[in-house]
Amino acid sequence: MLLPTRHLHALIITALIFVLIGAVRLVTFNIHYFDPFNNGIRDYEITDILFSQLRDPERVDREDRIVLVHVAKPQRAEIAELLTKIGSRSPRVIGVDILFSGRKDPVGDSLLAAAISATPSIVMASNLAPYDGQRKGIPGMIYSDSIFTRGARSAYTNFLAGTDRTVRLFNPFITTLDGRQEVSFGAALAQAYAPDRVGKLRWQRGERPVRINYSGGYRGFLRVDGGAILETEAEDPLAVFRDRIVIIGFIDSQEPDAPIEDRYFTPLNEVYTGRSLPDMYGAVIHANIVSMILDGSYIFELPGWLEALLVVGFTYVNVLVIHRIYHRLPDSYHGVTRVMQLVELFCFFFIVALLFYHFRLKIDFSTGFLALVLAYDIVMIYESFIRKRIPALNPPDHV
Amino acid sequence: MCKAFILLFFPLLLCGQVRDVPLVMYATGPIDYEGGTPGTSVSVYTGTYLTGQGALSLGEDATLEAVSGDRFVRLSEPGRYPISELFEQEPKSDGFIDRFINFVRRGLDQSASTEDLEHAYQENQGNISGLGDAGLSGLLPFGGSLFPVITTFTWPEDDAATSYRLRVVDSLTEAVVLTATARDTSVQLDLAGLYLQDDRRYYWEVFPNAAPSNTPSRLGAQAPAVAGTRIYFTFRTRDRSEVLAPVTELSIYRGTASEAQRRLLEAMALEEADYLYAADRAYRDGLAQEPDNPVIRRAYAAFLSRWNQRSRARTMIQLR
Repeated sequence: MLLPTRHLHALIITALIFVLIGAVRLVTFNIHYFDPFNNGIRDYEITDILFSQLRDPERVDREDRIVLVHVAKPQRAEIAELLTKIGSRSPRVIGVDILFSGRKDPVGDSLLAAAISATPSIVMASNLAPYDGQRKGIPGMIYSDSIFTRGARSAYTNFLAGTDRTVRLFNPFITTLDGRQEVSFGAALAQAYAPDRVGKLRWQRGERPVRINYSGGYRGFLRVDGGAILETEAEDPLAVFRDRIVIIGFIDSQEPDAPIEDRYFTPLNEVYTGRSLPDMYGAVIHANIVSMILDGSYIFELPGWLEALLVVGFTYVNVLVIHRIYHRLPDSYHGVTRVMQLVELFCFFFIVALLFYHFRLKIDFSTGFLALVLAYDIVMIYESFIRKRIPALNPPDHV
Repeated sequence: MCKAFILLFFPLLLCGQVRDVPLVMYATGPIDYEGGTPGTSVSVYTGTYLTGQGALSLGEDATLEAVSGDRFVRLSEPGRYPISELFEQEPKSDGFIDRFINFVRRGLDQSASTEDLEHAYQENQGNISGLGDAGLSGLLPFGGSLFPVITTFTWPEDDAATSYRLRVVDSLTEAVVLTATARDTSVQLDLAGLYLQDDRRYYWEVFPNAAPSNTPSRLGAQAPAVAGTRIYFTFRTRDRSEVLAPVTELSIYRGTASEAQRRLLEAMALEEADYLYAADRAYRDGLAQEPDNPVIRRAYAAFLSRWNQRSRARTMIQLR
């Protein structure tokens, strides 16, 4: 008969840990009473700490290829004038992060339509239609009124998160259920500036979601007030648009009491758990996406299988050690194990943070951390409850 | 025009390290740049490269943000600023390891005893304090539901304002229910007399009326203290005594000799029913009765903290 070795015990305990983690997740994620709790936990990733707490807030990553133009709630005729003024300075591309639904006043509408068609490189905002659960896909797009989109390119401005969730991902490309290939707003702008970069992105990622590598808040971007542009008669203030990517949208100040309109939670939010205020305007998120695509500075992620393998290996080794401590140092089991767990958590968190900070490599090790915490109790449960009841797990001389 | 062109694009042609040439990321108001030649200056706009050893002159209401390399400066006070001194000082910056250790230390502070938690609350500029008052500091009522009674709307002072315009607006239709101009930073309104519908959401907002300014917008500038915040509330025609009935019937409420304790119980019941303004009043009344009562003080601080009035909450804790 094959005698149970310490490796077999460690394997069983490791399996028990993952069964427990699975059960806990199943329960907490499926019972709606836990929803407030779940929303907090679900909308949190360990890398949020790195973005919000471990970045150097004094340093600004300057992006001088993009100009953000703030428009509050202008009339369509004013937008038309703004587009004409900016367009006359030969920007590489203009992105209009405003959806012009329906027609309002004939004069303003026709002026805007004329300005859009006269601008050679322009990307208009559109939205993805709500997800069709039955057909499992996006049924189509919601465009600005046809008078404005005639001849202009439209790209969707949606992120992979609602206004109540943290925006970490975006889909650069999507094929709708009617077979049309659509491009995201950020990717469309980047494509007009550097088509090869977007081609590479499409080749590498296809239609899979891409994690946004935020270069920072809007301090790092060139910013102009649309109202000031309309008022000025001078030529010099318009020179900034030459050969740059221009994003027109609602980009008020970043003060806490600035309007919440088109503002989202991002991992840069100082408050990374619990209640807080949205911290970044949609147009600034698009600017971050464009910057990331142009630089090719994507966040690398380990393949799921490799991450799972690492977590299982990490848990197994820890169980092996903790199980040994249980037998060799029964009097100080509690103290030694807890200290070991703390030191390991600290060291691994540091390594995960360091890899992300310096190499943009994201490793989701939260399951491994949870397994490490549970290992202490599961070893005790196994030894005092399970093993005593299953004779096959004990050598012949073991009581 | 020619000078401006040279200033804008010449550095791009000559400098190998373009990122180290200071670039104006945002400029508003009258800003002049003396590029080194005495007596000559050009206007500064967003996108202007600041080369050479000249100086910037900021006029009234001007704001400038510039980046050189990864260093950021923001100027908003009128005056003359030599370029050589702008980026001279390295910003206060910790290394990654320092920031990591600080993050862990803050976490440990927060995990310690209750006393330490308060200490951490006061010390931390990170996750606990977060966005501070979320723009609600000094604003009252700050949300929840309102009874059809006389209500004092209060907001913080704005230095530049000569008067304030208060609006109460239907949040669904954007129909303005009331516009009032006030000289002071508060105004009393009898909500029963306004055309407000039961169980409907409204918001109130205040705009400071100041002397005319050329500043086109507050993009990038410090926002005025009061403008821009909409405080949503629900108007309910319920009677206060009806809301308080579950508490006033309690034996502990009827039996206590302390008026302050009654106010505390009322405040809790009012908050539970979402009448935040009334709850705030009840806490204040309770504190007026017994200013040093630690239970009321702590309960009030917790209430304020829950509703994003953290500066006032901190004051409550510090004045123990």
